[in-house]
Amino acid sequence: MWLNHSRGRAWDCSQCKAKQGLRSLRGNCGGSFKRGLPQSQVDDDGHVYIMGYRVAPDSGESFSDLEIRSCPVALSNRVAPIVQAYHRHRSGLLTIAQSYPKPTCAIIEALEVLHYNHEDAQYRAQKTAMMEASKNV
Amino acid sequence: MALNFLTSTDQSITVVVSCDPDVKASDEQTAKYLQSANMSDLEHVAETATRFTIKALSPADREDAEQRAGAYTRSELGRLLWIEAPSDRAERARWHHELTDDEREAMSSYQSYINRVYYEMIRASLTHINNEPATLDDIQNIRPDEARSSTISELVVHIQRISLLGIEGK
Repeated sequence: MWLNHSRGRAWDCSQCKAKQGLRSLRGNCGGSFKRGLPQSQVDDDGHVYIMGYRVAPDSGESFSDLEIRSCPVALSNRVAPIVQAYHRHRSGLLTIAQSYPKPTCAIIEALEVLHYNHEDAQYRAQKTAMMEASKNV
Repeated sequence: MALNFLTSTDQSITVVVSCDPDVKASDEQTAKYLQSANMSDLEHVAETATRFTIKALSPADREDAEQRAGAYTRSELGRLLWIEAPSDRAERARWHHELTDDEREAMSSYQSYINRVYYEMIRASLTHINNEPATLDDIQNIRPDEARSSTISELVVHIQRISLLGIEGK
């Protein structure tokens, strides 16, 4: 699963809305990619995939090398309530226990994964900003 | 594959098992059903098919299940061998043949631990069978034995899917 945090050049629902036919090529929100999808490749079994770094140029190493076979934005939209609960918790509005009084293992694990990736994305953004700043000196 | 976990331990789902004579499904349909718990993925489910109601496990439920199964006394050598074992059946058999007696015993002990974890997961998760309150003993009484073990395997797959994030969620 991948969550867009910085907009930029990463995949987004707005691109499918703006460009006619793109949503169909991207599998209509969760289906397999179709041949003809820009920057896509085809594996030995004839399945269309796209490299993770094409989907999210600013993603970490663990995602950038993945072969993505269906739209990760559609998948992340399905867990939007969990992401929302995480951000509410981070901003101090609600505790996790208030959002999920009886959490399953999956919810705890999902929040841990979200937190790790959120921190990792922030670290990458800081690192990039520092590198760009040092170039300007 | 999609995300199919539940968010609260108050939530439950009702499932059927493919070894039930009142359930008709190909291997492919069964595999799809185990990922979705959507009965429309099966060829036919008769009204008389046995329905199992299971709830999602909390971290505490899962830890209790593992402790009851013997998490603190399980064979660590067995666990190591279990991870190292080849997945191909023929290759695995030859690999197992080369093990020492101690290693075989450790592996067997770990296999027993895994089975006990499955039983304890069902004990913690199963709430009803055909809308009647049910326990693990009801599952253990299923005959023939192949149907019992197949039921346990399928219920465990459903319990893990609704309780754990899985690789797709990461």
